[in-house]
Amino acid sequence: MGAYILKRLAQTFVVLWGVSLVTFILMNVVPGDPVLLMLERRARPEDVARVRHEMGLDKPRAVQYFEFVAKAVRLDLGRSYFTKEPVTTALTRRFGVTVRLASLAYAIALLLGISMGVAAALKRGSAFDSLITGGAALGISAPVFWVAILLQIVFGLRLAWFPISGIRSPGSFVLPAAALGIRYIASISRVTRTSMLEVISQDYIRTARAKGLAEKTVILKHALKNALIPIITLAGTELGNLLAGSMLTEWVFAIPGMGKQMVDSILMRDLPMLQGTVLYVAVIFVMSNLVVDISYAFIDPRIRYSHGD
Amino acid sequence: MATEGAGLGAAGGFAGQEDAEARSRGFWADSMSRLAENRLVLAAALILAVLVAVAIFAPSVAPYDPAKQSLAESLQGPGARHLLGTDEMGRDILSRIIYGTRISLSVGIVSQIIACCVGVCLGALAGFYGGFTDTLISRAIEIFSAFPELLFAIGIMFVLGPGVINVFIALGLLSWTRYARLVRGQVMQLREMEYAQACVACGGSNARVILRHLLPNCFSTIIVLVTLGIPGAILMEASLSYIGLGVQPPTASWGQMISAAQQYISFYPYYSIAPGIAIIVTVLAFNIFGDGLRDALDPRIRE
Amino acid sequence: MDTLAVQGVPSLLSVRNLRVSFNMKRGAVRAVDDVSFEVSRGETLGIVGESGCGKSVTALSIMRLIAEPGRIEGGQIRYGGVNLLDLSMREMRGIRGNKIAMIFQEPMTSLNPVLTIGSQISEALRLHEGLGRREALDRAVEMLSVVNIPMPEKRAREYPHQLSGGMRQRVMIAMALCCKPDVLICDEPTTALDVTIQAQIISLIEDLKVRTGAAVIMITHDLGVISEIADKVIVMYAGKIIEEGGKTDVLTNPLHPYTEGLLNAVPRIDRDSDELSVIPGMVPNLAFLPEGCRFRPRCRYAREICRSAPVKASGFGGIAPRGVSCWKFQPAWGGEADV
Repeated sequence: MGAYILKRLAQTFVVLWGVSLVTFILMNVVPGDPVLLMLERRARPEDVARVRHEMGLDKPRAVQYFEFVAKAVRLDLGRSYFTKEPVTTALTRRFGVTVRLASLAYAIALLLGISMGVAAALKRGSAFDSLITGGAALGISAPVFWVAILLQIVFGLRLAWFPISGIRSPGSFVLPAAALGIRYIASISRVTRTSMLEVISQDYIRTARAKGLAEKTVILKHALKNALIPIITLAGTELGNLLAGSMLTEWVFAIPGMGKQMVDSILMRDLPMLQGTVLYVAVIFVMSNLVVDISYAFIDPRIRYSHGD
Repeated sequence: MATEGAGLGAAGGFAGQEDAEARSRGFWADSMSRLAENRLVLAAALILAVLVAVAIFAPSVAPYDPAKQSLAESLQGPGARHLLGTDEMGRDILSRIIYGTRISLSVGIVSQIIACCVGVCLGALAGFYGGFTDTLISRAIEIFSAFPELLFAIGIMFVLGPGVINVFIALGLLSWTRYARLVRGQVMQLREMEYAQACVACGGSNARVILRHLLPNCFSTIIVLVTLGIPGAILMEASLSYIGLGVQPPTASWGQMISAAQQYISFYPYYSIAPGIAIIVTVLAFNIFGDGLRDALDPRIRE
Repeated sequence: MDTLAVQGVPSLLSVRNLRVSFNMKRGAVRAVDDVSFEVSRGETLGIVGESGCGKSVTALSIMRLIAEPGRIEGGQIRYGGVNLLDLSMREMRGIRGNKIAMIFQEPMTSLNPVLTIGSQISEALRLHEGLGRREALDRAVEMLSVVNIPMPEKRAREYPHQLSGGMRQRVMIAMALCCKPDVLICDEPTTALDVTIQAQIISLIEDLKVRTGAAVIMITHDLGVISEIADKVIVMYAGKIIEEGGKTDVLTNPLHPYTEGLLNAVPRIDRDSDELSVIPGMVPNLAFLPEGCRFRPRCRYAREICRSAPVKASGFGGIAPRGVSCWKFQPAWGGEADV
């Protein structure tokens, strides 16, 4: 078990290093000189040279990369070209908003997705099953931002139940979380249904029934714990996608989270901010995958022992 | 193995089929549900055929020139002259959606072909040579998959700048890892098979072994992956264009139409709804068709 | 053997005219057709037949574990004076794993991979005997040692994948026997195991049967297992019982051409022959049964009369009631039947 976790940790470090490299390369091949972007067009050449030196942009790329990583490890991601605020401070502030939105959506998605998937599997072939399956197919085919707009039109404008922008009231999170959650309700319920169907046809479920266990125990204790394994994989990768998806949702609902921050920094070509955001989200994504892999080991004893020896 | 087989035959032919009872029941149930699903898959295939036809013959199908502006007619609701109404510049929304089919389908297909070529080559190399090549490529796969898809696409588009060609490249770069992963695994398995070994023994070159013997075996799986990759790419293109990093106006793209329509939702919601439905229908048709294809060709791949 | 001789003792479990069908798109398929048998305390009944003959479905019907699209159409399963088919699901759950327990064919897949051995055994004890977690676990460990698993305390904390196939089947047996059932149904318990392990498992079941006095229903396609453990035998073919009788009678003097074929297909050391005979043809598809005798297309004695359904002939003597469904044993067949 310990060896398995150590191995995964080591892998994660390699991936994180790669992530930093890819991020750095991406941001350094962007056309346009960042110094010229920052300064006014008529800036004097000596000013340009001074700023370039201050920003360390006159050093070789390898040195720049090394400094970037060294600072990033100390959570120093530089300062925004425009607001001059440290990127880490801005991100942390914005991240709180995104986390509120994403965790709400994630909770809805897990709760509804798993219960709907289980119910559909147990009622396989019924009208209810078709409804869930069909709804899920629609849900994964609809673009998040369009669902968001649709919800704005129906619940924000026509019915006027919830505000359609900003985060002034607690109700403001309802529509964004729903818009963001729908896609993941759909994907999680699909996987849950498939996984559950596979599990309930297994021999050990018949064994559990043959013991005289109540159907509830058979499903919740014997089936669900096995069915959870693929659901956890999905839930892990979807966590990262959810964070990324929240960018679009935040944009639609004008919520000042990381997503909106990122789109703003793209539009303003604020490189340090963009670089920081990409790195930040990628790190969260990698870490959530690590957590998923470790939690496997707790659910599935086969992994715990086969890697632990 | 051979002796075991003989033993089975000797025992009246019924050893080794113990659970045929259960299996045959499952098989009947399966083939029936497959039959029922087939109609859905056929419907999806039909929709896809229509979409492709619409994309190819867009100029003859579309009632208007998608770029023809007529400010006097801007933001009109659905009516006899303009079936789905007009946009803020008085352009016919239906015609723009029809032309948008071209962008969506070409982005979906081309990006997956790019991803497939890159992924299959790298995956085959990693699987065939193993060792250092494999480690290098495997790490690259891991690192490329370490970014949430949309974030990665945004990053690449930011670097490359907007435009259809760049969308092809960005989405191709985004999806190659799936192909590489799959082909690497399959080639690794197949390499050990007798027929591949036999070819090596007969002096076949590595390239020959890979191209003639290993890849054809992955073919059906690759086809399924491409089909199921297209709807994801279409959604991704729509998202990029929605943010303004994808296809640029005046070219009609569904995502960018929704983006333009957003400011009019309070008094003119049709505008934003119509392109969204076009996206859903297309993506849904690809998803259903891909699932059907997967079930028919290669039940081993799961979502 | 002595239990068999006592006629008139009420049997423990009796199945009467059981009919089970599976609803398929093209109509219902009857997997078990008019099957009747009885077992008494301490007795072992062997049910033999090829895959798809309905023997597993019969076993699952007794437990009422037939799942959709299967359905028990008719008949009775009497246990302790009641018809199990009349019980509510709740009452039936009180019987399952408690009074009637079952061991399945695949020890590799019949145990839940994510639960420990101990918890899987103690589950039934907590349910049926109302034991607490601790007591139940102690009893589970005890049961593991009863089925000869070394280091039972350690094993109880382990997961199924850490055990070999034979060990897992022992766990299954421990699980089935922990509530001291009256009837133990074994559905091909040794098929998936190595030959040496097979023998151990069979003698373990035999041993435990003698100790607990349970009735055992042993379902198998392996006549060797039958000859070792059964007191009486039922031979099934395409959902019907085609022959029944005491073990020795059936194995040494098979009446039905199918039983004869089965026996000839078993390799034997004492018979000096290079060739084993194989029954020609295939088990019929239950959806397209031949008219009349179901074995007719594969039977070397088949005659025109076999196109109508055979009637059961009985009364051939022997220690258990003997019966066979074959025209050869009816007067209508004519003189040259070699009985």
